[in-house]
Amino acid sequence: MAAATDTQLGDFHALSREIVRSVETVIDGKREAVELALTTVLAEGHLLIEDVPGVGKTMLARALARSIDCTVNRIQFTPDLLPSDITGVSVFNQGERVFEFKPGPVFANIVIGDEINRASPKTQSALLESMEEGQVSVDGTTYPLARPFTVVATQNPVEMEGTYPLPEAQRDRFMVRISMGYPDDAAELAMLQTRELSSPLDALTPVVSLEQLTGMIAMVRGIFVSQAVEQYAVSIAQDTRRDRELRLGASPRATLHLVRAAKARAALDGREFVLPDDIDALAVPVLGHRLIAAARVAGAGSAFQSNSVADIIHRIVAATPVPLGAGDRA
Amino acid sequence: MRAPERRRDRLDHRRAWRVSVALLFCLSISAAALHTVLQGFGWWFQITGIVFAVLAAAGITRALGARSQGTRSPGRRAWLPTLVASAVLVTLITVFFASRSAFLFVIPTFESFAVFGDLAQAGSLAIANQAVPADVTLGISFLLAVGAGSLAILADLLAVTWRRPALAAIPIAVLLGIPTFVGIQLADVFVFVLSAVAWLVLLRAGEPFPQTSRAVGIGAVSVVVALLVPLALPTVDESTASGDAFGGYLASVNPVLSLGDELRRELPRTILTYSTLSDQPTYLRLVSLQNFLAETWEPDPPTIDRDNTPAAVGPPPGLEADIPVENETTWVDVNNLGSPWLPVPYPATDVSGLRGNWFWDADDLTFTSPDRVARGEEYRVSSLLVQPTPAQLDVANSTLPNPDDNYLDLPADLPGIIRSTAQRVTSSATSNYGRAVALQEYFRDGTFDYSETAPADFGYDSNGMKAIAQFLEAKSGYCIHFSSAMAIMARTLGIPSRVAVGFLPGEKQAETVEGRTSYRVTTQDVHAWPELYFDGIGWTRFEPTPGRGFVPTYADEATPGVPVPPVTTPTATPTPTPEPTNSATAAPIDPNDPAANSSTAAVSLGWLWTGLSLLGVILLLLLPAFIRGIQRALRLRRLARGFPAAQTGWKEVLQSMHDLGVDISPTATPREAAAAIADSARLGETDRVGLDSLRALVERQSFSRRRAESGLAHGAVPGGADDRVSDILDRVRRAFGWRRRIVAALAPRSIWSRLSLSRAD
Repeated sequence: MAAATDTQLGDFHALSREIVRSVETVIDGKREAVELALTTVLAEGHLLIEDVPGVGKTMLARALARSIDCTVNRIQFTPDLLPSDITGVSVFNQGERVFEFKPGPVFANIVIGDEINRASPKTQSALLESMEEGQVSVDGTTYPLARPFTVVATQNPVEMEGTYPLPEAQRDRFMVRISMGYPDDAAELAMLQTRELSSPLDALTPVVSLEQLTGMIAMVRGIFVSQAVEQYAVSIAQDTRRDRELRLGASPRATLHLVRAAKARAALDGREFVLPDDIDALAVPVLGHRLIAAARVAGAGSAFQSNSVADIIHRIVAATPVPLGAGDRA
Repeated sequence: MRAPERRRDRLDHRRAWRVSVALLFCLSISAAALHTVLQGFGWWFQITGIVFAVLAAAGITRALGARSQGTRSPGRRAWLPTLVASAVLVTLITVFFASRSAFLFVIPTFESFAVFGDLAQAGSLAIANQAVPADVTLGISFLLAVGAGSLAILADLLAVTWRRPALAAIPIAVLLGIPTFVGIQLADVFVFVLSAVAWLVLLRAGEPFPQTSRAVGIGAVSVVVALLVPLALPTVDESTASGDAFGGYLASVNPVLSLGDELRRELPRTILTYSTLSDQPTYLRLVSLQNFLAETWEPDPPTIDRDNTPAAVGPPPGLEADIPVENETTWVDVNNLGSPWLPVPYPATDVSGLRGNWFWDADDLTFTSPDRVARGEEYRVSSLLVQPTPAQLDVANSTLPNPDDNYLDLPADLPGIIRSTAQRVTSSATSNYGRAVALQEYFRDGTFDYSETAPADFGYDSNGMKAIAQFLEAKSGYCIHFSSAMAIMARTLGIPSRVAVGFLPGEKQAETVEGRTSYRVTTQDVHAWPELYFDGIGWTRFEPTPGRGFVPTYADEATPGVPVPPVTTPTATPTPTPEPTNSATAAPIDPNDPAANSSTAAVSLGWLWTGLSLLGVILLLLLPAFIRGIQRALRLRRLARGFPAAQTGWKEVLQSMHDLGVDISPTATPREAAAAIADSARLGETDRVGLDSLRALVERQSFSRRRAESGLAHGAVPGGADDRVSDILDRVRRAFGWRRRIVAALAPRSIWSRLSLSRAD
């Protein structure tokens, strides 16, 4: 694919600013989370938002979906949800005497999976398989999913009641995990005042068309990743596999996701090439939910492990030398 | 080329010339500091000439290079002027010092370098063998030319090529430091001040060059270091002069050991002058050695009796009233003698005019001082000229002055040849006096050669008994052998004896001092002679050394009773040695020569040598700074060439930060590093612009698809990439204190941690 021109990059930048601004009318003071969410969408990844209830996980997902003019479906995961409630079912059409496929909610550009860890593992897998493959197979027939396709799943922390924690193999399919965190004083106050009158979500109108979004995604794919930066990402991934404080290191898919997300971040920053800084910034969001700390580190009673895992990632990133690529080495 | 650039070029060239002229000014002025350690003025013209030639060569090369090139490129061919200047220096040295061995008189051959080596060696020897102010021999002249030329090249490199005129203070400080190193009293404050003024002129001349306070700081520090380092080092002043000071041999535990070295000096130096009304000059005695150990003779350990002041000198031991004596008076002016013994005629009866505390010893009437050396003393000595008649001598017995004395002690294993020779030579004599004269005659009758080099060449250059046995076989030696041999042989015959060390009467001078005959005593006159004891007469001097000194009338067998004309300076010695050892061949030096008579205190052997070592140490200490400077210059040159490598500039910035003591993680991304730099240097928005644009270029070059197009020179800031990097460095450095900056420049950390840095790449 040809390199993005500066004009295209400019357009990209403007559009992405629009999306962020739009989402921020709903989710105040969470610039980082919003940008990470957008990064994931642009990198064709799936987003896992993990936090305690009521901090706006779903709100973020919906605001993002609304800002883009595309099909959006929302699935509320419950323990009794069945796989076919997601993928859809083949129904016998008595009139025409044929089985007819009724597509499930997964057939949309953006699928919001609320409280994904409240569903049974069987149902979770149904969604996660379609996430990975971009298609759904029902009764021997394969139905392709919409393009672009992004799942924005929210989940409560695993220790909460009535949850089925996602197995690591399935967590690995999410490109980025973010946590919202509580809003600060000002944001919470502002929320109180606006929320009473009307839902700000209703006021949201799409700022980007599906076509534009497809173009943006294509542009992200065209962002240049130098060999040096690829090497840097690989070095970090390799180091997580060797690290003694980690029981499970990053998968090759994690490396792939890391570089893809970095491309999106570079594009959002108005650059046509990826910097090691992009990798650095995304290391924790991309790798954090995939790595498992060794038992002695995991202790500490922290809710997510992520504190310690994040620390380990920071340490690894800081210790990995940044190659300055081609050029003289004097 | 655009007009403004051309104008800037012209300015650059004019400035470079101005700085070159100022450098010549500075270096020639600071070279004048050597006037306290070198004689004459010729060397100054030589140094200035060499410096001029070197600077001119560099300047002309620079000008020609700029013209032929036609493009603005301060970094390009930056080394060419230095190379040409070095070549010119080598050529000049070849022409002046080794043209015969050179190809076409100009191009040095291998043989020329051998000549250089010899010259350097001769120069260091000449330095080591001379007291200050030293004669500029060919060897010293060679060393001066090489040293001055190298300093000029260094100065040109620092001030013009690297555009840091302030750093020229380093070579200036080296020049100023040489005399200071020899002795702080040799530092000429006037020259220091003049040099400082010249340096300020240099700074002014190089004004448009960036005069970072760092460079100025280094300059100031160099000058201070030039003053202080010599003080911190063990310099040679009077208190420690005894060991190696010229003339100081007599202060060592064994004064004899270095006596030969003194005699073998290439150039005689004046030790003292004296004048007397007597028609006969006098031997001046410093000390007597009476302890004959098997290996050498030693004086008694100095014992100081505070009652023995020079005002009342005790009677000569053993001298009785019936012996005829004459009273002599001698006025002595000691120029240059680092000895704790005073040169006086024997036996002295009164010494006046001394500045220091001197005390005499009752046994041998030597004068010692607990706290001074003889240098600088001017005094009047009254002494006796003892003239016993041969008849008195003939009847005199030889018993020990005191029964406890060791004047007859001999080692048990004395080689047989000494005893048997003594017996054989004296077999016909009937009295102790007769035996003594026979011994003296044995040595003087022509069978023995006077040679200062033969003993050293054949390994018996000492006065121990084994060396004396060898000497008796080889029949060649100098005063220490003759005096020791005669003294030992006298002891085997039962005559108490000791060896006196001091000076021959020296050379008579044309000028008289207040009507008195004046004599000059040089290093060539260092001497040792035996003294034998006769009852009723006391200690009596003999002169067994052929061709040296004169035989006392009482001991002259040939014409007993007839006064012998004083042979002060034998013009024809019967020695076969071709060495110009005697004062006859010594360069005639005017005794009133300001250098010879200057009040400048004598300093050490090897003063210039140590100065050069100091230079070496300084250069060694500056080596890391030098390497770092070369590295920086090379990088800036590559940048100036427009080499599309922002990393080069970036690395320079990072390394400079490291030098400044700011630790930037080697794993930091360019952005993180830039943030850390801006943070630690507290850069404002405007100061950051250059840094950030460089950082962006580094990123672009390292990580973007279009890195080939993104040379540094295409940035937003006008000017060459090297200037931009220099600008960034200047802005960054400003945030740090001068101490950090000086440390960064003089002791760059990055040189040592290069390995870790390159590992981080």
